[in-house]
Amino acid sequence: MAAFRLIATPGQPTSLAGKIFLSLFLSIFLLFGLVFIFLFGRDLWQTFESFSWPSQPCVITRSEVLNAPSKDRGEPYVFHIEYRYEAGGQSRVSNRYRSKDEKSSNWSEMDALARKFPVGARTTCFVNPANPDEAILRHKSLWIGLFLIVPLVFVWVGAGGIWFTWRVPPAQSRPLSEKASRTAGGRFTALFCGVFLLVGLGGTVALGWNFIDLVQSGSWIKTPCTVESSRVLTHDSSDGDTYSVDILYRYSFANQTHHSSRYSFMGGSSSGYKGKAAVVKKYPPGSNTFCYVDPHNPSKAVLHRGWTWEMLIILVPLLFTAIGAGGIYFALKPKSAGKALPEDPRNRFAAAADSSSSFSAAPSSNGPLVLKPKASAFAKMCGMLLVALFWNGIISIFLYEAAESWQTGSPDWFLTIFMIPFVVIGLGMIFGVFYFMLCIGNPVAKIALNPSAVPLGGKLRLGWGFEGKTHRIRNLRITLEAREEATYRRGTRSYTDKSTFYRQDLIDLSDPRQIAQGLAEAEIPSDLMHSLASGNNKIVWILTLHGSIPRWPDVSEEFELTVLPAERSA
Amino acid sequence: MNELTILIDHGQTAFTPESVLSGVIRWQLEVPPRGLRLQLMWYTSGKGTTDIHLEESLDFSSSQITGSESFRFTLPSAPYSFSGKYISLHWALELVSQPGSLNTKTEFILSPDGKEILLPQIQDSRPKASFGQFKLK
Repeated sequence: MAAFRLIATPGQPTSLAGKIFLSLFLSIFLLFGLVFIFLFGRDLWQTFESFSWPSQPCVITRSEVLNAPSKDRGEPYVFHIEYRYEAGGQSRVSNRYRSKDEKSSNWSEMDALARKFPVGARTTCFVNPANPDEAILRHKSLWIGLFLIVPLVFVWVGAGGIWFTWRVPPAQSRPLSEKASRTAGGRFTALFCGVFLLVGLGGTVALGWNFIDLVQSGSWIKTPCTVESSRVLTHDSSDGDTYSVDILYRYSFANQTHHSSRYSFMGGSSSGYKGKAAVVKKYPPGSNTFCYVDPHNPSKAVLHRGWTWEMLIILVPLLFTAIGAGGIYFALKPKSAGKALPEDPRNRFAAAADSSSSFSAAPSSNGPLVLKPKASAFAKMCGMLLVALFWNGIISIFLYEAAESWQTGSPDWFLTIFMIPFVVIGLGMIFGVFYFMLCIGNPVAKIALNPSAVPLGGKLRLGWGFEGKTHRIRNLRITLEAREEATYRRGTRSYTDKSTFYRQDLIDLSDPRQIAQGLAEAEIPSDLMHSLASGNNKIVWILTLHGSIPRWPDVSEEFELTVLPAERSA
Repeated sequence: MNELTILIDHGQTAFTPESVLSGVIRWQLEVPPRGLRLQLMWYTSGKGTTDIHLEESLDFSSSQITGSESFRFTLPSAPYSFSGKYISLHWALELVSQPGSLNTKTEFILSPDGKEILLPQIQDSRPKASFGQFKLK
C-alpha cells in the first residue's frame, strides 16, 4: 500500500494590508526580472536577427592585436580587424568582428583571432540588409541565452507569488486523497536547485580547462623567452578594484615567433596589489627568462606552471554543483512506500526502525537485539574533518584576500567584517574535530534489548555494557524517552521540531562496578503512542545513555527502539 | 444541489483496532457521476508537512444521479489517533465523486479505548524518575 506526502499549502495573508505588502515585495522580484529580460532579451534578439543577414565575400585588409592599456584598464589586448566587402553596388569597409571591440586580458586569445584572419585572407562576412554599412565577421553565440533562466526565475517567483496571494480559493476544497499525490513543492525545490546545478557546472567547466592544462603541462617544453612588457592590471569591480598580473613575453618555437601573456594557469583577478606587484617586479621588460610551451600548440605557453592558491576557487562552483545535485536528488527522491505503514503492524514498525535508527541487526518481534551507536567516534571525527576542511578551504581564499588587503595598507573592511561569522563557524568546526578526536578514546556503549520490540503496556528489559576503559566513567544515566518529530519546509530549507512527551530515568549510577555492565527493566505506559515513522511526522522512542567523564568529553549516545501498538487481549 | 453523505452505522465515531467499520453512503448529484470512491485513510496535521496514507478504498460504479450503497471496512490495528504538541493523527473516510472534486469527509477515532491519545508535554529540565519504575538487577 502506498504512502503519500502532501506539501503543505502556505497560508494566505488574511488582511488586505498583508496582501498589498506581500504583493509589493514580490513585485520587486517581478520588476527586476522583467527589466533584465528586456535588456538581455533585446541584445539576444539582435544577435538572433543577425543570423538572417546574407553572407558576402570579403577580404581582410587589417588584422592585428593592439596593446592598449590606457583604453581599458582590465582588458588591454584588443583584436583590431578591418575587411572590405561589396554591398548595394558599393565597396564598403567594416571593423566589427562580433562586437565593436573584441578585447581580453589574455594576449593569446586575441592573437589566435589575428592568426585565424590574416591580412589578405578571403572569407565571408554577414551584411545587414537594412543597413549595408553594418557587417560582422562572425555571429555571437546564442548559448548566452541560457542565462535568461535567471531572470525568468525571478519573474516566476514574483508573478506566481502575486497570483497566489490574490487568488480566490475554489469553493469546493480538493479531496485529501487527491492532495496526497501532489508533489509540486518537490518539483519547485528541484527547479530551484537546478539553477544552482547549472551555475555550478558552468563554473566548473569554465575553470576546469585550466586544470586540464595544468595536468598536461608536465610535457610542455621549457623555452627561453623575452619579456616585452609587465604590469599589474587594475579591474573595476562592484566592491572595489581587483588586480591581475599581466606579463607579455615573446618566444621562438619551431622557427616561429610567438607571444603570450599567460602567467599562470588560473587567470582572473583578485584584491591584493602587493603580491601581484612582486611578481611583476621579477619580470622587468627586456629581461630573459623561461616559459613552458605546449609542443602540440606552440601558441600556448605559461610562465609559471604549477599549483597556485587561486586554483582553490574551483571549490566554489563545485559547492554549487554539490548543493544543486544533492537538492534535486532529495527533492525528487520518492518516499518509501512501505515505510509509513506497511501491511502488518508488527513487521511494519520493526522495519521502520531498522531503516531509520541505530539497530545493528534486523529486529524480530520477540528475539534479543543489540543496539549500537549510530556512528563511531572515529566516523564522527572523519565526517567533521571533511566538513571542516571543505568549509575552511573555501573561506581561506577570501581570508587570504582580506589579510593581503591589510598587509598592503588598504584594508578591505567590507570583506573583513563579512568574513567574521564564516571564520567563527570554521573555528567551531576545528574545535569539533578535536572534540571528536578526544571521543575516540571513550568507552563504546552497547545496549541489548529483549525482546527487540516492546508493545505499549509491555515490559522493556535491557542490558548495557561497554568496550574500552569503563573505569573512566564516574556517573552513568540511562533514560527512556519518547518524542514527536515534525519535519516541515520553510523556503528551500527543511526543519524538524521535536517535543518530548515521555521521560523515565532507568538508571543513575556512580559505583564503577555497577557502571561497567548491568540489567534494567521498565514498563512502557499503555496510554501513550507507539512508534510511528511516517514521511514527515514521527513518534520516536529512544534510550539515551550519558556517561560523565571528568575533564573529558562525556559518553553520550542515543539508541532508537521500537514500541509497538498494544497487544490485544484474546 | 450536489450532496454526498457518509453515514457510519449507529453514528459511531470511535473504534478499536481491527474492529469493523460499516455504514452507508448516499449521493444526490446534478449530473450523473462516472463513479464514486470511498477511501479509508489517515492523515497528520500540525506543524509538520502533512502525511496522508490511503489505507483502503471502495469503488462504486453507479451512474445514477442519486443513490446509496453500503460499505464495510475492517480497520487495521494501528496507527492510533493521537494529538500532541506538533502532530495530530486523524482517521477519516472520504467520499469522492468522479469526475470532479466533489467530496465529503467523516473523521473517527481509532485507539484501544476509543479515545484520542493526548500526548503530554514535559519540561526540558530532567525530572528524577518522573514516570514508571525501574529495577536494577
